[in-house]
Amino acid sequence: MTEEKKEPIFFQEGPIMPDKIASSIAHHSKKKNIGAHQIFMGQVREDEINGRKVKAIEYFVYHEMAQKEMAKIRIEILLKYKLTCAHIIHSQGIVESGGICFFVFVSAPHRTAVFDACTEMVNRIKKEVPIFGKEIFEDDSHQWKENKN
Amino acid sequence: MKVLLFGILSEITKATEIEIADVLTVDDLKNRMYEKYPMLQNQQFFVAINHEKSIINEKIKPGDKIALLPAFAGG
Repeated sequence: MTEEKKEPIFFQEGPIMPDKIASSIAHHSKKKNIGAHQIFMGQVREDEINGRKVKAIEYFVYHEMAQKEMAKIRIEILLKYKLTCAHIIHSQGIVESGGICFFVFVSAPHRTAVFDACTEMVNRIKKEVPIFGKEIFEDDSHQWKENKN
Repeated sequence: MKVLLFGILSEITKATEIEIADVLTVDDLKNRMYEKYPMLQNQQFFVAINHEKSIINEKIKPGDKIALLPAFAGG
């Protein structure tokens, strides 16, 4: 069997649990050329809109396109900032308020690269990846979320 | 030709994909969609062809993968 580098899996069902994030950090102790990590976590906010509170967001993903866009953004930023590694996970399906829905984790020998890379990665994913979010209110009514620039 | 719909567009059309025959350009496709679902005229969206944002009135070829995409909301 030939060994091929697998494309990362960028999407998971439901919220990203803190123990998954902790074990992701732990895995990096073997990569001893790393001197700096930067992590971004997006959390579902309990917004109040016209007196209704958001209890969850249901995420829908155009998978074929989203997978390509994620892979493209990841590799471009890896190369641009000479990162050691970069990991991205975004939820699909329902994430209740307070749950983590988005995780970006970048590592490099020095800190300057990871600060800039993480910000650019997060901003590009929000802008360029076809993910759609339905904000579900406590009374089960809903509205479609739009990212603000 | 199969057209995929996402977000509020699938809610308005009550479908995640529809079949539309004989569309040659993005404008053709939009006009046909507006005839079939007039409520779409109030929506902002773009047409993706083979997973890329289409350019103004781009041609559509048989076998192209078409999707109508409203504003993104990741994160």
